[in-house]
Amino acid sequence: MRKLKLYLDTSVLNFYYADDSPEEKIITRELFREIKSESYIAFITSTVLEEISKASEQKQKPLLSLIEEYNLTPLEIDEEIENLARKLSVNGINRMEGYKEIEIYSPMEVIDYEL
Amino acid sequence: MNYKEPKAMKEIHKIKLQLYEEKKGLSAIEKAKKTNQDAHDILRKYKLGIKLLHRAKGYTDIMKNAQLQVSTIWVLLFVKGGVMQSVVKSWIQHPPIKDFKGRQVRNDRIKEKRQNVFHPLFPKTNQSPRPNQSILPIFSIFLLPLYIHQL
Repeated sequence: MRKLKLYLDTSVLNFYYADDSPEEKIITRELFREIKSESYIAFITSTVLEEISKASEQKQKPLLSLIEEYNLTPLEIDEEIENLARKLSVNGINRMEGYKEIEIYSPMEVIDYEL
Repeated sequence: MNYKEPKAMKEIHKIKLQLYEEKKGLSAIEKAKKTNQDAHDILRKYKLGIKLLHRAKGYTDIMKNAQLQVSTIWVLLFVKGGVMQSVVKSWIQHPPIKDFKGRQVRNDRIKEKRQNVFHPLFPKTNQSPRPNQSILPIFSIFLLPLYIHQL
C-alpha cells in the first residue's frame, strides 16, 4: 500500500517540545511515533533547517536530534519550488500548473485521519 | 480545529519574518541557494549524518539527463578508444596463464615485476623489455562510470 507522504514544517517540530500546550504535544508525539513505525513517510526541506539554524542554540539541538531520531528526509529546494511557493496561496494554481493539490493539516488532524 | 499557539512558536515566527525580510528582492534561484547553504551549514556545524536530497525530478528531466549521459558515453568511448585498444592488446600479448587445476594465475608480466621486487640488486640480463603500458588505462575504465555519474 502506498504510504501517505507528509511534509513537516518547523512549527510541527516545535509542538513536540511545546510544554505549554500539553494536548498538542501529546498528539504531535503520537504523530512522530507513527512516523517511526513507518506509517508515513516524513519530509522536511532545507527551509526547516534554515529556520532552525537561526534559532537559539538551546533550541537547535533538540530540533535537530528530532530530525535525526525520526529519520525525517531533508530535501533541497530549488528555483521551481521557490516560484511555486510564491504562488501557492490557492490550490487551484497547483491544478493549473499541473502539480498535485496539497492538503494542509495540523498534527491533530493527521492523527484523526488514521482513526 | 483551533489550537493555541505555544510560546515556542513565537521564536520561529520571528525567524520566518526575519528570513522573509532578509530575502526580499532576491531572485528565486538566490533564495533557494541561500536556504540550501544555511541548511548545509547547520548540518556541518553539528556533524549530523544527514544529507540533503535533491528533489525527485520529473520524467522529462530524467529523459533529458539520460540522453545527455548516452551522448557523453559515446564521446568518451571515442576519445578513450585508444585506451581500450591498448588494454585489449595487453591482454592478447599477455594472456592469463592457468595452473594444473585450470585456475587462473598471475600473468607473466606480473611475475616479472615480482621477481624484480625480490631481487633488486641482481637484475636478470635476459629479461624481456617491459611492455610500454601502464596501469592507468585500466583504472580509466573503472573511473569512467564515476565520471558519468558526476555528470
